[in-house]
Amino acid sequence: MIQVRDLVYRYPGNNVNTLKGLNFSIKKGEIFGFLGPSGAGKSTTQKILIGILKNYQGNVIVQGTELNTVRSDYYEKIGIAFEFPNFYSRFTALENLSFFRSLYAYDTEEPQELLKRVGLENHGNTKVASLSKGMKTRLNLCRSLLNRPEILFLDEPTSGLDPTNSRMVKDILLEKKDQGKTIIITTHHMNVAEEICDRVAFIVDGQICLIDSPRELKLRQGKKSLKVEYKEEYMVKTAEFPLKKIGENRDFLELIQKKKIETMHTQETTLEQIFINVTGRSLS
Amino acid sequence: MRRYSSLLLADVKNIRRDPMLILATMGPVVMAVVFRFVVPILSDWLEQSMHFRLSDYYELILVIILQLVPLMLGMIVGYVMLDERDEQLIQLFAVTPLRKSGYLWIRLIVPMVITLFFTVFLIYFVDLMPVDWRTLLLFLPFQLLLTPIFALLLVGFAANKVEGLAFTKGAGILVLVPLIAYFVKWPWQLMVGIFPTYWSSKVFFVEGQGGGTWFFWGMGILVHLVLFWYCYVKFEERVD
Repeated sequence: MIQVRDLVYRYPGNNVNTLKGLNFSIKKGEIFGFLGPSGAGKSTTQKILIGILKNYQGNVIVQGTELNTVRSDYYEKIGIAFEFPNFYSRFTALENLSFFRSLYAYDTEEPQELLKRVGLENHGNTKVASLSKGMKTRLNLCRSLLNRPEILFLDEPTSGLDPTNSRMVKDILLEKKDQGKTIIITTHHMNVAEEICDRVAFIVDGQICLIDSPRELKLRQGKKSLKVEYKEEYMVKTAEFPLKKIGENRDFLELIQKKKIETMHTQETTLEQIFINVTGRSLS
Repeated sequence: MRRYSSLLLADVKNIRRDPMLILATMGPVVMAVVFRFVVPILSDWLEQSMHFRLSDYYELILVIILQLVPLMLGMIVGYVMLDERDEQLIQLFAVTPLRKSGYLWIRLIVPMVITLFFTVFLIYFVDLMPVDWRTLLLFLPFQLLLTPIFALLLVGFAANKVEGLAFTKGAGILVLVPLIAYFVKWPWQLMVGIFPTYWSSKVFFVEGQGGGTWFFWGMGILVHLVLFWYCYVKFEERVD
């Protein structure tokens, strides 16, 4: 779906390259996450992928076409939700969706249906200026889905959402993935990436340090052990056992048979920890 | 075509919901009515009570009236674009099939067409003096260029709508420039040559007296194009 080779980009007037040779590819039907701290080059990468920045070096091929040659047809096939929800604040939610819908030439979604899907069916006639930040984030997702895009670019798609709505948005994205849509997420929230991304790329200082599936990363970089917390004489104690042949580990078996177990966790690491280990930088 | 008409329909809706913009759109209409009926009455009164012939200055008055049109329309478009810039809609249009070029096309060409219509309408409706076709054709390009220049000036330089308002007030100076072109002796009047309205009004006056028109016209077009380009570059910097 998307192939990027040796992508280098320098903003006009800058002395240094913002992107320093990125290589990656994204398959159809994949949810791909770009992770990295602010200023690392995530937004620049996204701007190139959505065709705003054209004077790049290297190759960016989307559906077989080099991106700096695409025309307005490209925008019929992609959906974009920037982090800052863009709407006419004096228009209602429905008026905004109907307006943006009319910019597309092909089949589009029914605005009311989209509102229903994100739980905003009762706010269709509310002016956008009166919507909360979370509602605007959900409306922003609706807007990006209007043209039934093949590729969806989302910047911080759960920004400002409570856990319930955040779950709903993630479910919608998984549903879109099942329909064969390709989704590219830019975020610095690890939990979104951990939960829904098939693969993630860590970007730091204009370079990709690592690309893999969150599960693989967590397993590979974590400790292959199991930590048990148990109670003994009114005290909470911990013990750690290697996962290898744990079923034959006598100490472990004896512990779980005889002690009152409080918690039991495998010691794979978190994406956040991996990020810090690999890049020496924190995400915030 | 549909996406262009959608944007225009959205504009109508947007302007209708902003009291300041409603007032601004009434501006040219109010102006037409006032000058059509008030100037002759004022002229009669001045002549009878002070023996002052206002009609000697109709040429100057007409130029000032006409130059208000692109300023008013440019202001309306500038305000709409300021809102769109601040709500980051221009950046969004750039990634829809409308594209930034389509957006700008609508935002700059449509007000130019309205300026054209209003300029011709005002000349005949206010009816202060006859304007021949040659003068009209020489004067119109300035009018048409001034509208987008002023719109882009607002979006390119104003940080917000309040600043935009201050800019509009400051732009009032442009309307006074024809007075200098009319009353101040050559070459001292060239001091205001940086203002586009100097050249356009000069063309209007000189054309009436015959001679020297092409120099002023050429310089005027040059000043307008340079200003247009400069404001466009500033706009691009602000929007990216």
